Amino acid sequence: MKPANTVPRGATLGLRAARQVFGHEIVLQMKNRMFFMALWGTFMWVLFFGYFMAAQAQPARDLRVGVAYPPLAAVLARSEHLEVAAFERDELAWEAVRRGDVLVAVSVVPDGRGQVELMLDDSQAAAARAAQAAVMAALLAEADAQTPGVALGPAVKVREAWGLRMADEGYLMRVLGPGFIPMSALMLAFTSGGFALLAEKTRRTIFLFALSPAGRGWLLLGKLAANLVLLVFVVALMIPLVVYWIGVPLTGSLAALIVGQALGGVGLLGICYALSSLPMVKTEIGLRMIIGIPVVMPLTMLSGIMYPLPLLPDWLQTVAGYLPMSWMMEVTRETFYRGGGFAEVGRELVKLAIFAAAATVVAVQSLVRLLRSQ
Amino acid sequence: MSMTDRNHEAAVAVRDLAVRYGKVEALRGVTLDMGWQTAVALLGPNGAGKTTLLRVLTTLLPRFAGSALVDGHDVRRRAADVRRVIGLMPQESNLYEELTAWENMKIQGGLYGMPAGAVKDRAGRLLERMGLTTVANRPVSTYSGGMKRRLVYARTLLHDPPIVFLDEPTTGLDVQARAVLWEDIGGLLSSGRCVVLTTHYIEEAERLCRRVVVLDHGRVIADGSPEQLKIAGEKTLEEVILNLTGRELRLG
Repeated sequence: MKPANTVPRGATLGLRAARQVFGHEIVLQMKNRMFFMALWGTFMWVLFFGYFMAAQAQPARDLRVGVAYPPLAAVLARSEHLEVAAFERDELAWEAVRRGDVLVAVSVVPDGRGQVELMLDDSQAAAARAAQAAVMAALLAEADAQTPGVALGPAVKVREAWGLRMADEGYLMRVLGPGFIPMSALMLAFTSGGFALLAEKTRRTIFLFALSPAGRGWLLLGKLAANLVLLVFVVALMIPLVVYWIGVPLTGSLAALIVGQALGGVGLLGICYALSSLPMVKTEIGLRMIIGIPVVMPLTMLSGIMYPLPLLPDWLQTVAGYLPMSWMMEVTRETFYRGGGFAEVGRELVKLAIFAAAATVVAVQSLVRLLRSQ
Repeated sequence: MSMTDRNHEAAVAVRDLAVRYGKVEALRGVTLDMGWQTAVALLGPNGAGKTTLLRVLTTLLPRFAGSALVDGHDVRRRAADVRRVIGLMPQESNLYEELTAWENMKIQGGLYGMPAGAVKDRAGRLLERMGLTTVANRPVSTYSGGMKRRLVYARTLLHDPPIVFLDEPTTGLDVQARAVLWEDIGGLLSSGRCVVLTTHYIEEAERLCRRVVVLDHGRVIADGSPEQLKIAGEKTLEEVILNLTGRELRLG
C-alpha cells in the first residue's frame, strides 16, 4: 500500500518555495545579525581607514618648520599652519630635519639674491609636502605685502566647487560621507552573500535547499530577491544619514542614486555568492582570504571612497576605471555633488547593469554547483 | 512481470549500483529492492557504504553507475520527482540555531511548497509528538543535543514523505528520547511508508526492522530478517555482524 504524496509540482511549488525562502532569508539575516554586521562594517571601514587616509587632504595645522634666519622666522610665524622652531645656524635646522624634529628646514641661500632653500623630511610624505606648501604660501604672502600685485599670495582667491568647506572641522566626514552608500552595499554583499552562505555551508543547512524538490532557480530567486530588498533598505538608511547627519546635500536624482547602488550591490552580491560557494572556502578565515583581501580591499581602496584616485599612479587609475565600485562611487559623486540624474550617470548605470547580470549568472551557476555537491 | 513493472511497485529499486570517490570504491554492484510498508536497516562498519547509498537514493550523489529508482523515478533523470516523495534525516543536526523550532519547520514546509496553514497544523502535531511544543518558540541554540535530534526528525516528516531515510537517527540520544523516536518510527509503517535507516545500534535495527541489509566494502554481504541472518548459530545480530565483517577496526 503506497501512501499519498501531497507535495505540489511545477510553478505552484516553485512560487511557494521562493516566497518562503524570501521571508526566511530576511528573518535569518536579522536574527543572525548579518544585516547589522554590514552596517557596522561600513562605519568601521570608512571611518577607521577612510578618515585617516583622507586626513592628508585636509589643510594641515601646526606643521613644524625649523629656521635659523630671524627675519624669515618672523615671516613664517605669521602663518596659521606653521609652528616655527628657531635655530642658531642652518646646519642645526638641517640636523633637526634628519632627526625628525621638524618637517622642513628653511634657510637663505648665501649669495642667492634672496633665494630660499627648503630641506624636506621626505620620509614624511604628504606632511612634508603640506609644510612645503604652507611655507611657500607664507613667503608669497609676505612678498605680496611688500610689493602688492607682484606676488600671487593674497591675490589668489579660492572657490570650492562643491561647497564642502575644506577649512572646517567636519570637512573629512563630508568628503567621506557619500562613500558610506556604496560601502554599505559592498558590506551587505560581503556579509549576506559571503558570511551567510558560508554559515549555511558549515552548518549544513544548505542541505535543505539541496533536498528541496523546487527548482533551483526558484530557490535562488527567493534568496537573491531578499538580499536585494535588504540592500535597497541599507542604502535607503544611509542616504538620510549622509544628508542630514553628515551634512552633504543630495543635489541630484535620488532614484538614479538608488538604482546605481542596487545594480552594483546585486553584482557584488553575485560575486560574493560565487566566491563563497567555492569548495575551498570552508572557514571564516578562508572567506576573508578569498573575498576580504583580494576583493573587498581593492574594491574599497581603488573606488575613490577613501583615497583620491588622482593621487594614484596611472596604472592603478586605469585598474580603478574597470572596478564596479568606482562606477558606484561615480554615480554617488554625480548625484550628490553635481546634481546629476539618469542622463548624467547613464553610462555608469549601463556598466553596472551588465555587471549585475553577469555576476548573477555566475552566482546562480555557482550555487547550483554547490547544491549539487551536498 | 517485467523488471520495469517490478521496479515501479517497489519503493526503492537499485541495480548494480557502483560509486567511486577517486580510487576508492564506495559501492560495488549493489542490488536491492525495498517495498512499501517496510522498514529496512542498513548495517555495517564505518566506511561500508551506507551513507553513500543514502546519498544516491536521495539524489545528492548523481555520479554513479547502475540504476536507482525511488517510487519508480530515476534518481538521476527525475531528481525533483524523487525529492517530492522522500524525507532525509541526516546524521548531523543541521538546524538554523538562531531560529526557533517553528521557524525551522516553516522554512522546511516552504521548501516543499506546503501552504502556511498546513505547515502550522502538521508542525504542531509533530512537535507535540516529539515533546517540543513548550519550547517551540525558543531559539534552537538553547536546545540540548537530544532535543535538536528530535526536531530534525520532526522536520524530516513535515511534508509527509512516503519514503523516509534516517541516517543514524538516534545517535547521541538518551534512553527516553530514543524510546520516543523508536515508537514514532514504528508508527510510520502503519501508514504504508518505506523507512530506510542506517544505525550502529543493533538493538535498534532488530527492534524496528524486519529486514536487515549488511554492507561491507561497498557490497551487500547479507540481506534478510534478523532471524534469517542468525543461521550460523549466532545468538545475537551483533555476533552476526562481527562474524560477517570481522573484528578489525576500520578507518572510515
